[in-house]
Amino acid sequence: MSASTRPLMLVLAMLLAAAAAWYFTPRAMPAHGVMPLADVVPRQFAEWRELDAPVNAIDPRGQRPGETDPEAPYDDVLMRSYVNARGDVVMLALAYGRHQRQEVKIHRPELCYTSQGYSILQQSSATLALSAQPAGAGAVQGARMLVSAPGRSEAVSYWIRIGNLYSTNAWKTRAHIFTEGMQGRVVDGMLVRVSQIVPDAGAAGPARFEVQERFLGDLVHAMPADARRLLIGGDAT
Amino acid sequence: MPGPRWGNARWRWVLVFAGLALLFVPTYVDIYRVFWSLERGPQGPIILATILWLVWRQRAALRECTDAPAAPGIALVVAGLLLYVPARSQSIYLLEVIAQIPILLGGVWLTMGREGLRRLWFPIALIVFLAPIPGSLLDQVLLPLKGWVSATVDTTLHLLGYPIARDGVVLTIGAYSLLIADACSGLNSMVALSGIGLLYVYLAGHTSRAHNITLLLSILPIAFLANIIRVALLVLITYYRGESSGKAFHDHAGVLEVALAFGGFFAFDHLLMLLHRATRAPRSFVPARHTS
Repeated sequence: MSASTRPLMLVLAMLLAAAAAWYFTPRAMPAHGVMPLADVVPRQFAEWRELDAPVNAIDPRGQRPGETDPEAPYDDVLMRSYVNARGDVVMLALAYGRHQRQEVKIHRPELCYTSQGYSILQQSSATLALSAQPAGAGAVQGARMLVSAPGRSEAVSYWIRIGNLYSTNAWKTRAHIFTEGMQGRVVDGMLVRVSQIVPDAGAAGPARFEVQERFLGDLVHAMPADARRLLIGGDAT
Repeated sequence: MPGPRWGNARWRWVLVFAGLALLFVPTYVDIYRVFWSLERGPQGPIILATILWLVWRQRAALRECTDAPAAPGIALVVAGLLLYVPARSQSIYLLEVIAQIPILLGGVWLTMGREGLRRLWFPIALIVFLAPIPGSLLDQVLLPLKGWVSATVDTTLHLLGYPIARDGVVLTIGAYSLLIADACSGLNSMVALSGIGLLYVYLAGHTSRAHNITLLLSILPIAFLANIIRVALLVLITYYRGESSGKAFHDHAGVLEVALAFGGFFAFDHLLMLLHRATRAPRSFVPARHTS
């Protein structure tokens, strides 16, 4: 190559790369379009009804008190409290984002809670047995946590759906977003989180989580089919 | 007088820079939006400006030259572009930034030869410090660092007699409580300050290997110290002037931190030089200015 051709070859290679990067940029948005969540999540279902005065729950979007991350990937957030006949109060937080990216994803509740001054006393991954789960849906891979801050302790159950994956591991989630993205598909994400204020986080037994699982099962069952896919995934029919 | 050949050469360079801009201006726009515009500090833009300045400083000495064999340059450029395509299309910002390094090294090697590479390798390598660290990696390193920072600030101010208490990453001073948030714990700024440390060592240009190694080893402690001072000042300003002053300080403390770190390197470097002179010329009555 002569002196004059080298820069021109470089330019050509860079143009090719720019075009390839443009070509592989995912543009096919997920099909789900059932919005807003406030309309599709029933206010009353099974044994549960919405509390008129909701409990002040930790905002799933919050990075710090009073601050919402401007790049946070949320298109819709729903926070409600429900109560049943026995007086069990459950805080529900749903956070949906249509476009999950490598660096801009739904925040994991453990980070959300810690960044707001809670410490995680206990955390375990869990296969949530949703008793009323519709046939054909796979088991939901989620997690349970006991968290506490001065003056308040909570028991938390949650799962995060990213595309067709229950996100339990950061690298698997990244790999899923990447492989779907290279095929041109944007993946969406949904955080489903329930929590209850507990008097003493250390004393919260498994019964705590049993109530939460029953609530989640009832909720998923009570959702209309297309909205249910937002929560637990599955193919559109 | 610029003849037609000059004109051609200039146009080739305009094209090369246009190509680089096409690839990487979108990258920096994204990184600015997602990382730099948040309160993670001005260190990124400072380092970017420094890189451009270091390149600009060399502009007179840069000549088009093809004394280097093409193969290694082509390999570097192709590897970089192959990394760039998935990184850019799937917004993996870390790899997008890193991809610039082989592309630029290879491009310089191909067009400006060995001498060009010798002059430009350092600013190109500094690009590493522009790379945003992905959240999932950050989270694993952040929590202990956050703990250390708040523990050190707590202990120091407590010893100085301030009414301070700590619960995890929440510091309570007087009537105020402060949360050492992700951005405050400064892993991002630790990375950027390390870049500034390397820059200092490069610019200082000492010939003594021991001196340079000592300086390099001082980078992390000095960066950590700058971080501690920033958090301690934030706590004290909140204590004396209230929460709104603290917040105003917090939003601009990044510049101060860079200045502190640079000052720290400068002071440590000069301390080393003093020690060096003291051991080298113990009987000298004359200030040893001329030895440098």
